[in-house]
Amino acid sequence: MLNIAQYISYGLGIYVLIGLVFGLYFITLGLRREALAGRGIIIRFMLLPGAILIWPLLLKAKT
Amino acid sequence: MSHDYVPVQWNRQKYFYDAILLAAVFIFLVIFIVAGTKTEAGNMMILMIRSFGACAIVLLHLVLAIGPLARLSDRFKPLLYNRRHFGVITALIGLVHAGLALMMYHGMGVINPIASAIGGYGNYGTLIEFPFESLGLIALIILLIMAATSHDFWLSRLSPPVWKGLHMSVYLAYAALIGHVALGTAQFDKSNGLFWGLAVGAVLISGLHIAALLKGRRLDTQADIKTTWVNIGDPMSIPLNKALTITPQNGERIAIFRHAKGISAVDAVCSHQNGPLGEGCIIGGLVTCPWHGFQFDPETGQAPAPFTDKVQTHAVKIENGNVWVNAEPDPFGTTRIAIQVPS
Repeated sequence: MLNIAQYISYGLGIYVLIGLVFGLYFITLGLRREALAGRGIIIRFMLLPGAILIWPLLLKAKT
Repeated sequence: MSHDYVPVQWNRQKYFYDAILLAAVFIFLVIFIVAGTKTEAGNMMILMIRSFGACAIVLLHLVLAIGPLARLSDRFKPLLYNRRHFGVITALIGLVHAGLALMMYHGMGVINPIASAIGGYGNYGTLIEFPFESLGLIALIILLIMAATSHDFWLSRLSPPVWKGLHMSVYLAYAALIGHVALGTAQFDKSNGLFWGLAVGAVLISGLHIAALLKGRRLDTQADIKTTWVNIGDPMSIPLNKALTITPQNGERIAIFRHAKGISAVDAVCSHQNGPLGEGCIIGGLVTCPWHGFQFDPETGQAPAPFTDKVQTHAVKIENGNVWVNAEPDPFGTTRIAIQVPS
């Protein structure tokens, strides 16, 4: 059981790590063509947690 | 106002709402910890873990109760405003609870703390040894996703159906949390006070949702399926400057407003971000969405100039003292002069 639990925890870690990379891209370059373009840095950082957690949905919407 | 994403600004009411909420959370935590040290003289870390956990559960119950309460009584509608901040604070309080618990019970060994919590000990085959932390982790992940996507930008970006589907998972989080607490208290808290408190809370939440559902269905059953006209009943049953909302067979919800000019009907879904127009009111002669204050003329369905948003109007008539509304919406931009209420 412990092995499975470790795989799950590593999986969560990798998911968040990919999300962080994607999220940073999203709030900087990705938002250029969105309605938020040109808005302040605070609102962009407010969107970062969402981009980290739902990056597969955002990627799917893009493709 | 436009169909594109428009950020909703902070205002005095939002600051006031959040200040009260944060103060209440702080007072709850202080009382819980002070009472705990006096009654149990327990470990401070354990008291903090329990206080944040209990606070998160109470907040989640309030979040789940606000929706049905607002449908049952107008007095609770102010709570609907800014409800998302309630959810964000609930997730953050839950995160503190989880972080402290991981540090206290799983952070000192050689095993990854999360792996230790969800599979380091215990047995998924028996209830009495079930690693209840895994259920708490599921609930926390859902609450964090909801909090992180609660900003209006995500509603606009993901589309309302996807966003609403994502946020309906709060009920899955609630179920997981009930399991987390029930199993945790069964294994470690022999007093069972929290368990019974949660049972009462679950009954109340279920009861409120059923009551709100039944109230909605009472109106829905009046739909006349032979024609597109729906009998609303006595005009005076519609509160002045407010609406009755109906859901016709195979149709979108319709809000029937009684206002100074008479009775008008428009689609009950705001074109800004699908807010519940039927739960709004008439301010300055305009239908006003309770979510973000977007406004529409009840006779034309159009936002006041220079804005271009529109909702569809519906034909209304009065026959034999009863109000009837056509379930078929008019084309966008159709003007329907308000029907005078006979005195």
